[in-house]
Amino acid sequence: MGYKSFRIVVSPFGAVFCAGFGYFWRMKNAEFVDRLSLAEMGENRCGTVAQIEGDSRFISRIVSIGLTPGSAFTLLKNDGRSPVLVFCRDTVIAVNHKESSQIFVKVEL
Amino acid sequence: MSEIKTIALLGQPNSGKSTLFNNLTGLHQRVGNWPGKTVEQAEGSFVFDGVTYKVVDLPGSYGLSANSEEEVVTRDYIQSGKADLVCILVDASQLERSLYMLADFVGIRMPVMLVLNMMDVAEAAGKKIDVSAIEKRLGVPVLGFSAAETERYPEFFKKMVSAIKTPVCLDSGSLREEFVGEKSNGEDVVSRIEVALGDFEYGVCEKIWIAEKLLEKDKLICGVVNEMLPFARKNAIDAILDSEEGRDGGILTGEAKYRWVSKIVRESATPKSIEKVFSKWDRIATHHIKGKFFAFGIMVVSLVACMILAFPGMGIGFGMQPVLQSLVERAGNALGVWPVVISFINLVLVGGTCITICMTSFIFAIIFVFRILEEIGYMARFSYAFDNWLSRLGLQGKAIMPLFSGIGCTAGAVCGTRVLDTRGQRLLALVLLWAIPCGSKVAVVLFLASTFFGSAAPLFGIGYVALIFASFYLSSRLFGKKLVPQNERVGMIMELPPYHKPHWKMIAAMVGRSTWGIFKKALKMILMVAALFWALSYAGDGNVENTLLYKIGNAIEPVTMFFGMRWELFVSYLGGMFSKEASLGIMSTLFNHTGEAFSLVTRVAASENLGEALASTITKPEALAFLFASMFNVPCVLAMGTTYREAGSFKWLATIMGYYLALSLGLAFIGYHIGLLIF
Repeated sequence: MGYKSFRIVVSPFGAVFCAGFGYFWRMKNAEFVDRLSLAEMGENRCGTVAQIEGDSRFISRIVSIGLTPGSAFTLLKNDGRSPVLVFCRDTVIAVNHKESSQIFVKVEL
Repeated sequence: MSEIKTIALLGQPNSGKSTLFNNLTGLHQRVGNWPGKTVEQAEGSFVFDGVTYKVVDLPGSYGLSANSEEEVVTRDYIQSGKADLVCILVDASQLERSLYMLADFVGIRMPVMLVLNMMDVAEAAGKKIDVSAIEKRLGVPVLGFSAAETERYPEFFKKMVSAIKTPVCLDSGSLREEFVGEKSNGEDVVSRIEVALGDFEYGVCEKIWIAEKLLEKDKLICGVVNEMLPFARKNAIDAILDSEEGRDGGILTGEAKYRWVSKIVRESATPKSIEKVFSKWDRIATHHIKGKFFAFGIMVVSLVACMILAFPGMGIGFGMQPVLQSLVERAGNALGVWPVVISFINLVLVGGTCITICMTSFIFAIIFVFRILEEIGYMARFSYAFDNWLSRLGLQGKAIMPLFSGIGCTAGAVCGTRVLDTRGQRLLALVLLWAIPCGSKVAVVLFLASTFFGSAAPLFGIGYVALIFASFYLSSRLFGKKLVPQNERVGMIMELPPYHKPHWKMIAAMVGRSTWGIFKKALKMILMVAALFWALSYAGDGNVENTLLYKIGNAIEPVTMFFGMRWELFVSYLGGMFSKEASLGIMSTLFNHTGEAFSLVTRVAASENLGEALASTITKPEALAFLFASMFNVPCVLAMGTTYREAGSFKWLATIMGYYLALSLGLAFIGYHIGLLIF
C-alpha cells in the first residue's frame, strides 16, 4: 500500500478525531462559554444580572450604584473600548470595561 | 445666647445636596478640612425663627460603606451623634436607586428627615410620587422638594423645625423582615450574627447595622468588632461569615436593601422610556471618537463663552485705571497732597482695585460656565469621554475641563477644579494646572523667545509644550501616589445623570455669591502685595537706585546669578508671580528707562522698544535662563489666592509654590549653564 492510499484512508479518521476533540474541549469549558459577562453583551439588549464577582470593595461599589443580582437592565452602549453603559433602575450607569467583565448576565432572547 | 441646632446633609452625588446647602447658607459658609483628613468640609449656618442652624454638608457618596476617605468622614460624622437631624437627600426622578442611601442608613439611631429632591424633574418625566404614603410607611418626616426653586423653601423650614422638635429615627423592623425572608425567625445570617454579637454596643449603630457591615466585609467595622469582642464570640461570627451565605454577604445585604426600597416605591414607580434618558444626542456624546471631538467642541465653545463673559469686567478694570489715576493726580496736586500719598493711592489702591476687577472677571466667567455645564449634566459626560486618558495621571475624566480652561486663566481654572469629586483629585489637578500657561504667560514667553532667539522662537514653543507634558508626568509621579492612592484608582463606576434644564436664577445667585466672596479676598490680598512692593520700590526722586528693591536686589545678585538672573531679571521674575503684565512692566522700567516709577500695577504691552532694550543688555545664556524661569513661574497672585481657597490649607499652597519655584529655578539653572557652553 502506497503512501497516497494510506492518506486517503486515514484522513477521514483524522477529521473525525479533530471534530471530536473540539466538541470535548467545548464541553469541558461549557460553563465559561455559556456564562456571558456584561463586557461581551451586545448593544440594545435587555438582560438581568446573574452574578457579580470581585472583592468586597468592588461589590459594595457596584451594589450601591444599583446593580444587584436579579436587576433588569438594558445595555445601551458597549463598543469594546469605552466604559459599558447600562440603564438600570431609571439610571444610566457607566462601568469600566475591565470591571464589567466581572458582572455576569442572563440575556433575554 | 440663642439656640444652635446642627443639621447634616447626606446624599448621593447628583442628589442636589450642594444646591440645598448653598441656598440655605448663602454667604455664611466656610470651607475647610476635616481635622486630620484631606477631605473638604463645608459648613454653613442660617437663622430661622430666632434659632441658629449649623449646616454640615457631608461628602457625597453612594452608600455608607467605608471605601474611601470621603465615606469614612461621612460615617464618622454620623456616628459621632453631633447632628440634631440628618437630612437625607434623594433624587426623586431616580427614586429606587437613590433610596439605597436611606436603606443603608436603617439601623443608625439618629433623627432623620427624608427629602425627595427634584420633584419637578420627576413630575416632568410623568412620575407620580405619593409623598404621604412614603412618610406613613417609613414613619419619619418626608418632604417632596426641589432645591433649585427658592419659593419652595418655606415648606422645607416647616418640615425641618417639626423634625427637630419631635426627632424620629428609622425603624429597622421592616428591613429585618427582608433579611429573614422565608426562613423561620432567627435563622437568617443577620439574626445569627446579631445573636453572636451579644451585648456588643457601638454608639448610635444598632446591631442589625453592624451585622450588615460585617457581611459587607467593611474594614472599619470588622476591625472594631475584632478588637472589642471576646475570642469565642469572634470565632462564632467568623464561622457565620465563612459559611456559604456569609461569603456572598455584600450581595445578600444589597439585595435585601433594594427589596426594602422597592416596597416603598412600588406604588409610585412609572418607568421612563429609554429614548428619553439616552437620546441620540447622548449616543454621540459617549462615542469613543465622536464623543471626544464633541467634548473638544464644547470645551472650545466654553472657553470662548468665558472670554466673552469676562470681557465687560476686563474692559471696566482696564479702562478705569488711567482715568482714575489721572483724576487722583490732578485732585492731589490741586489740594497740595504729598506726592508720596498720591503715589500710594495710584499705585496701590487704584491700581490694585482695577487689577482685581480684571482678574476676577475671568474667574466669574469660568465659575458661571462650569456651573451651567454641571447643572445641565454635561460634566459627567466629560468624565466618561476622557476617563481612559486622564486615569493614567490619576484623575477623573472631567478634570480635562479645568485643565483646558487653564489656557484662559489659571486663577479661574483653579476654581473650576471644584467639579472633581475628591480632595486628593482636586489637589492633583491644582498641581498640574499651575504648569498650564494662561494667555498672558504665553504672550510673555513668546515675546521673550522671539526677542532673543528670533526665528528659533517656534522651536521654543514646541519645546514648551513638551516641557509641560513632561512636568505633568513629573507631578503625577511626585504627588499622584500620595494624593490619589493606588487603591482609590479603581475603574470608573458612575452614574450619567439625565440632562436638566438649568435654573438660571439660582445659578446666577450662586455664582454671584462666590464671585463676590473671591473678589473681596482677592482685593485684600492684591492690595497687601501691591503695598509691600510699593514700599520696596518707592523712591522720592524717582531714581531706581534709591529704592529698597535695588539695594536688596544688588545684595542677592551673586545668588541669583547662580540661576543666570541678574537682579533686574530676578525682580521681573518675582513680579511675574504677581502678574505676567507686572513682569513686563518691571522690565520696561528697568531696561527701557522710560522714567515711569516701577510698580506692579503698571501695565505695559510687549513693545518693540522693550525688545531692543532687552536684546542689547542681556546675554543669550541669561535670556535662556529667564525664559525657562518664566515658563514655570508661579501663575499669578490671584491664582495663589484661589489655590489657597481650593486647597484649604496654607501648607498645600506653600508646597505647590515651592515645587514650581524649584522647577522654574532648576530649569533656569540648567538653561543658563547649557547656554554658557553653547553661546
